[in-house]
Amino acid sequence: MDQVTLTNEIAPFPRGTDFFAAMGLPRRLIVDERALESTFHDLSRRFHPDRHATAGPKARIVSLENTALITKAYRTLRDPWERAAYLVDLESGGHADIASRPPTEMFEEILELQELTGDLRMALASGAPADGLRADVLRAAEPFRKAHSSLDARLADLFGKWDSVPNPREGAARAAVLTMLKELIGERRYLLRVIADIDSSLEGKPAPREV
Amino acid sequence: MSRIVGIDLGTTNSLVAVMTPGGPGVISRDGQAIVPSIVHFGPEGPAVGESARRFSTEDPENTVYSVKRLMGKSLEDAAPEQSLLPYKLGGAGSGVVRIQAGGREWTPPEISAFILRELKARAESALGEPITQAVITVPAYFNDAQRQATKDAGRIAGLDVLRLVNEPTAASLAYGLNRRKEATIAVYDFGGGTFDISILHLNDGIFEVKATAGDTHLGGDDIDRMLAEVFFREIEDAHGLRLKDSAEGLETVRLAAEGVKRALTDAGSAAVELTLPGGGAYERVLTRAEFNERARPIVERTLEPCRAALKDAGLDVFQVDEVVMVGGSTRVPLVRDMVADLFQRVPHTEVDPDQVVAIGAAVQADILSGGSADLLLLDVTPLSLGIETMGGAVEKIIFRNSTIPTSAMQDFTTGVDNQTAVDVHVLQGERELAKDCRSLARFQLRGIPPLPAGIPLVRVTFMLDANGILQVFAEEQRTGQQASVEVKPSYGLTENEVDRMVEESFEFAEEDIRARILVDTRVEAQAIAAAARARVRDFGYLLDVHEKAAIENAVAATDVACQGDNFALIRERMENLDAATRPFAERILNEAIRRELSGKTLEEATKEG
Repeated sequence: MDQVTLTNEIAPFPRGTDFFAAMGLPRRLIVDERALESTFHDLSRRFHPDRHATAGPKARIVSLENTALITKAYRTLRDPWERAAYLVDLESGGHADIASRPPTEMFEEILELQELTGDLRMALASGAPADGLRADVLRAAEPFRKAHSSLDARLADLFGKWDSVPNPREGAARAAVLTMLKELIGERRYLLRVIADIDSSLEGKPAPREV
Repeated sequence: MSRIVGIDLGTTNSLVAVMTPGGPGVISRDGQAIVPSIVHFGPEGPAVGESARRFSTEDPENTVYSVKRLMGKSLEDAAPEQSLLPYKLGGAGSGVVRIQAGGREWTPPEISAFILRELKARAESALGEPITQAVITVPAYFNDAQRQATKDAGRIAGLDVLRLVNEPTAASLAYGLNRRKEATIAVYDFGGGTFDISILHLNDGIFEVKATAGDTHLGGDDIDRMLAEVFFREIEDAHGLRLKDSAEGLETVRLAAEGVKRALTDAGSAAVELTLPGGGAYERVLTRAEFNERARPIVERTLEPCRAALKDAGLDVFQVDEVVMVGGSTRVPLVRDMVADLFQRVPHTEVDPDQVVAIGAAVQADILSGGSADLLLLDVTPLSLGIETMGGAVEKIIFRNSTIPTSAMQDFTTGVDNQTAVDVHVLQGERELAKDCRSLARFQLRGIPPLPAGIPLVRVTFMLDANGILQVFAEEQRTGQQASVEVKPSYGLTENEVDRMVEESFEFAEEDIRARILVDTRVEAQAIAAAARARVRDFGYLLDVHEKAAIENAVAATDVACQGDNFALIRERMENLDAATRPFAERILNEAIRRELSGKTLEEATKEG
């Protein structure tokens, strides 16, 4: 058998390499997902432990750690929401606490919905007729579903804003976009929970655990 | 560099395969590639495979089968199995179940090591070289403890397990689906004791697993047991005999049930005839329709994981381009029908479902040796990994279906001043509470510098390697000190225990491998020499003087080599002999054909000569 070069040496990523850097990308939010996938595949072919199975222990550790990093980087960056949350966290030095955040302008609707889903659960649990309540919950859910369906477009809009201020000297403008991203991500988290709550109430199940 | 073999260590059957210049192939002995995963402990020592099989009715208490079901389990986990197994289990409270056979206790990795050693010996005698490295397949849904137990088994058998590969993923490699540039593949793997479903995306040689799901306690065995239960009940009703209570009865009926299942693969009905203790007889005809009706609930149980895997992969059935069937249980027509129904397409069954996993393991072994450079498997972890937090909840740090290798970092601190150690409990599973998940390991972070509470910051890296096995590293952040981590597996052997078993195992590897290869090679060489001698005697008239002398010399040289212990010399002379006789063999054939055409049989022709 030919002696294939098995010891195609690889260097470890510098300590603290972020996901964008690992994938050879600038810290921008608009990402060509197809190109990202092919970068991931190329890097996997280079770093994967299967390509270094018979190398020395040191090379095997580098292979393992590099592969774990690019795998996490790919998983995170290929999803727009995860990518945004990661960037916000990265830009704040790892201290961005993104909290679930109710959209303030929907305060009234939130109160009404909470009452209705509570009533529906109770009715379903006691076996009382619930068709009317069900219809009420579905109606009250409408604004939340609508808000949810507009999220992706709002995120795409912020992606454009962030990518238009790449220069670190534009600190204020960048901080403003980061704040908007943080709020939008928080709003989405809230909406996802509300929708899960609505769906489970319609099935007569208890409210899902807080995540 | 010696070759890396691929091993399918199955619940019912095991095989070894290797990459050859002509492609991957299973290694056979006497035309048999399959080694039944059975170990018998008799007075003359352990027997493995086919030679152990007959003891499953003759000496059931000392005949261990389906040990894969016990890998990575404690006695408490294995308790439901006991009533169905003729051998006794022990090891209460130790975290690792013990099997009582041959007058002592064995752990499941030790039993599996006997099977691995047999496969290793077969590979060594077929390839004529020592084998020390292997790829071993495991069910995709195996947890950390089950994977670790498989690796331990390899070590005890003297094999360096370079990689554990998930069985369905291995199967997808064997199918050569990489001829397609891009496709989504579902691999349905229904074996003797386990069920797996994996959804893969293939893109330019990269096999990326999107999602996997399964049940490590669902297999063809369950169908056998279900049928056996029917027979037990009917025998008890008609004859008042409880065959289930004796190990022999249990085995006899189980084997009869398995036989009926197999017969119904091709036949529309099959009969069972059993002679009962006391001279009575039990006769029963089972139609395929009745079989299907009874087996349906078991096969149903495989469909839920299929739907779950599709959902996790974010796909619906119409987006699946190919469905591949793996495992002996996919021979059951009902299984094929139900899978075709679910995926709305005819599944692939071209590659022998018993061999496809081993062949895939050989391809993976080749990848590890630097061959098949265009292929790469990116697999996932089947179960989420979490840490127990205050109040017994679980915080997930790596989610199921994450591509491996992957890692997660978690910071820990102290609760009281000058605390120098922190306990960590790692779990595997999808549930919210620690008590509902599978405990993976407990460990203590030690050597933390004495500081006020909450000040030390120990950063722990949880690394899931390409085998799906957890490794833990820790570092104190404030001082940069490497905190020591000693992981104590909850259900598994410690490093020391495995070391001890490796040492013990040498006494069982009594047929020293070299001696074994020597014996096998000698037998082969003598057979070839004898055949050559017979040909020269019967067909000598076809040779000129020089040719005849060359063959006779080669035969004599082989005979001489066979007197000695030099394995390489025997092999060399045997090959020389083969080379000397090859043109002759062709001539015999041509001569035979010529004679045949002129109206004479081969026999008459030789007699004339």
